Amino acid sequence: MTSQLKQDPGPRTQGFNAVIRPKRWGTSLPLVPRLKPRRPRKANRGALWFAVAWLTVLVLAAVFADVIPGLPAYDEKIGAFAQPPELSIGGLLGTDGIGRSNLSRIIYGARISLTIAVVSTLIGLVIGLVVGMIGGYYRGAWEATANVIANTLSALPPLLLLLALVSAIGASLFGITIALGVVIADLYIRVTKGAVIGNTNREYVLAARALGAGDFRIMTREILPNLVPVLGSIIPMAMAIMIVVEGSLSFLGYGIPAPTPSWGGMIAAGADIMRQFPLVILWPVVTLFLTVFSFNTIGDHLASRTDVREAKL
Amino acid sequence: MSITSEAPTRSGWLREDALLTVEGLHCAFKTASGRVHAVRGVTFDVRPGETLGLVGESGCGKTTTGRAVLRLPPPTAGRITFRGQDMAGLSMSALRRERRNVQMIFQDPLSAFNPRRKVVDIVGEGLEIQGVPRAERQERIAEALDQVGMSLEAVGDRRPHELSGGQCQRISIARALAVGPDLIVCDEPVASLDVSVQARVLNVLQDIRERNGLSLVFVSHDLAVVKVMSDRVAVMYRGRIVEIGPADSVYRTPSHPYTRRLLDAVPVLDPSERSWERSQADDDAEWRTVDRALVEVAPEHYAALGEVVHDGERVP
Amino acid sequence: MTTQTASVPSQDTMTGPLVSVEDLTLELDTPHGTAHILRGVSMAVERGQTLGIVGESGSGKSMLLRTVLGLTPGDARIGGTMRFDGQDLSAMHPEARRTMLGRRVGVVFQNPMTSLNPVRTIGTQMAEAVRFHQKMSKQQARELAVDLLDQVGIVKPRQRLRDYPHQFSGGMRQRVMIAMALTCSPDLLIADEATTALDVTIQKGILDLLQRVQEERHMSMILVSHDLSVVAGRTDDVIVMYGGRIVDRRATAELFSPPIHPYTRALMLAIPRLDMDAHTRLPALGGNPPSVFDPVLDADAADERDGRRWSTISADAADPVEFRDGVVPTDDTVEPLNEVVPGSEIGAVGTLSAEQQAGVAEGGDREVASGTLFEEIALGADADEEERR
Repeated sequence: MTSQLKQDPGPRTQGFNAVIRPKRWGTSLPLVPRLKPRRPRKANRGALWFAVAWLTVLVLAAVFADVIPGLPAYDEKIGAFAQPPELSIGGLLGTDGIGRSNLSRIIYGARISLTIAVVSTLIGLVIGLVVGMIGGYYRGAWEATANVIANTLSALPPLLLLLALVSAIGASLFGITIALGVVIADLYIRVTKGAVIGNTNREYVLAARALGAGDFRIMTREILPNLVPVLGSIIPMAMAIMIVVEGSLSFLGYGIPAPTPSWGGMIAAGADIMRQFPLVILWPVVTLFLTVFSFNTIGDHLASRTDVREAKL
Repeated sequence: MSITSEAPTRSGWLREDALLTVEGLHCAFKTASGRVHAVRGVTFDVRPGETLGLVGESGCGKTTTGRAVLRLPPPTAGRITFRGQDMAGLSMSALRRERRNVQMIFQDPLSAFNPRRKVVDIVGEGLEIQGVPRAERQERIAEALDQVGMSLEAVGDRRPHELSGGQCQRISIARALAVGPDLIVCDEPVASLDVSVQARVLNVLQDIRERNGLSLVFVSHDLAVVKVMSDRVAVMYRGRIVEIGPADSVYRTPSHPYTRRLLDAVPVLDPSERSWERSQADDDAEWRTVDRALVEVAPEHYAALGEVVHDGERVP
Repeated sequence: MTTQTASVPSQDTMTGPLVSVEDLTLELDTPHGTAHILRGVSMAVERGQTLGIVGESGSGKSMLLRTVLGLTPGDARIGGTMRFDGQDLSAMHPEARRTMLGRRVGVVFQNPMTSLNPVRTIGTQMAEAVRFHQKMSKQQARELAVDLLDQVGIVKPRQRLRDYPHQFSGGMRQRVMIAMALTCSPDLLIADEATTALDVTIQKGILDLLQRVQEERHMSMILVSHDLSVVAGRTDDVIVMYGGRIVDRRATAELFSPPIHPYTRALMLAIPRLDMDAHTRLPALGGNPPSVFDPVLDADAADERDGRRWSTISADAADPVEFRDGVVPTDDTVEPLNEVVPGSEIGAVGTLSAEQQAGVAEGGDREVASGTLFEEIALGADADEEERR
């Protein structure tokens, strides 16, 4: 008795939904009157605009790096090492440990890092979706197989696995993205499999089968779209991890071969001289932070816009 | 799927001209706590244009039986015959074609819809799977929605969460109707609806039943709802049918103690709705553990009062 | 087995109602405007009596209880007065109110699984509830728990104390909830859709239990349900809620005496009966209940607006509903068939065809209004025996 009466009303939005939502939902009223605003609140708008702007600028700069006037090449020594920022295009962010332009290296590094983030995520996603979907949908031996794959991938120390794959395929952009994709696949396998198992028992799958849908159609048309919210929330985070892990690879000498810059590589290189010249590591770190923040903000925004969770009671 | 029948002779309550015949249905599932026998030897049939009500409390196997008719999932044993054709012998593709003759309506309209779909896509899904061309599809969708009292223009572009529960359930009916079935299994279609919405949805079901000459298998725990919908009623307990017969006969003269107990427990506005006497024998609960064979107690009305088929708490 | 009676009420309010609510309004601000959940609700629960509250979803019946118990969201605006045993609830400090109500009101909710903590044993939870309100040793609390479980009909209560909620079936869990609600011998027991999720035979057992417990302890009880049949058989008074207000209030015995309120009548007619023929069409209301965002009207204007909907009873299949973007739709497209003024003698509605009258006496509504069909209830339970066919 007292456990119910001692309940606090709870935070504001919970109170709304708890109050308005009818106990028996089958009524003449819409099931959930839309009390939660669809768009994020005003405060987050600024963050969203910044995120979009940042990523746009970044991508444009990376794509058109070659034609930015006055930008030195990323392997061109423009001054003494570890110089502080000065008012010239090349020296805007100062120089790195060898005297190359930080700005230039960051911009050209964006090409590598963003490519790695996107492509390796795609690879991991494809592996994860296929293995997870088949394992989760058909269960039984298929699920056991999916488990074995996922468990093996997660049991091997990621760095060792990466090193092994990169050695085998080659320390090129191609090799590294594939290796990273394979390593992150276990996350996507698990998440997908769990979500698929949860969704397969829903009645709309049963209804689709009753209407004559085959397995492939159910997997692609019914279940897959409902995985988007779940996956959407982990993809930005995973992308950020990819970029940083690439840095570890560079640190160990297995990354993108010098002098091609990548943010991770710049962080790894700057870590050596961090004490004396902190500015050198600051720029790639800040850039990485802002980029990950932008990924996450946009990801959140998309999730809240497409989320139909409000329809579930 | 092994085809077994319980006994060499057909059960007395099966009729020759039935649209759907279910004989000796067994459904067992593997769960965390072992093998669960949800349905244990259920036999019934449905004539064209007839409505059979399946009643019982939770866990009696009525939902599983309803789904087994559509082979979702296929039963462990037993024979299902639709229009004379044994469903078990069909290949996957033939089965999918047969599917359009038997459709289903679910209890929870929200979880029965893909929440990301528009109404027009939901209702047209069956037609799309069959490969019906777009123009004809639109026509049939509009007609199906019209039969349930909704207009394609008004609700076609909406998503399920923008509609009320009663409307969602009607869309569910339209979806099943669009593919042109002969029999629809209704799995607790009005269980979570308010009283007036429930009445409206039931009226819609009556309408489409009449207009299309449908047979219905109406599964519900609500005895009054089943009574207004059904010609015949089967009462289930623990995976078996304990009483089956014409609805009037079963409700006015219930013969099995469990049926009497159920009818006694239903809250009614007007006590005259119950027309039979409670007797001493009603308190005896032997039927909880003992399964008996069905015997005829009135014309076309059978109750499980015959010889013992299975004795004991543990289900086989 | 001890039978605990309700605690002695304060001297000067012995005769007043236990709970009284006057002109209660509840408003919430939402992005779509102000939601008026309760609009001037006034009601009272007498001591030792059972009150039934009936309403469809969205009528405000659960919110009414929550408001009295103080379980509304923090930013809700509450107007009007609420009294418990003479004390003004709105004037009390929330903490004091919670303590008092916690001790004197027991609540049984619809879903026992979420009301009980799944990771703690029943015994722990009950003992905790007891010791929160009364000074007792652990031993005494456990004894009380055993006693209560026994009273609610749980077999082998001492062993069951050590069980977890998931080891009980739905009906048993609800009994445990009732036992927990009784730990402090409350003056008022509230059952908020307590049996809606249960099977019909179990529901009967729980309702019988509630009645028995209420009689033994001379408690007041509030039975909330969407099902008029449940309420009709087991309460002294009945309140029908619609659109956030009370539209009909009467003694249960007079529920079917003329003049029947049109909305109550609509509810009654829509309920299927066990003796109806197959393929009966049930008369049902068209349209939708009023939106919570509609501004508050006075009772007469609201009656007039709603009366139009209440008179649209028909057994036709369905009504196409127009939508307005993002707002709960109110159906203005339904044609009023007969103007019905609540409180007056009900005239024939005219849309009930012979087929539809399968649940209604021959000759149309006049018969219903005169109570022919439901006379037995008015006459009392003893009449049942003679009237049964």
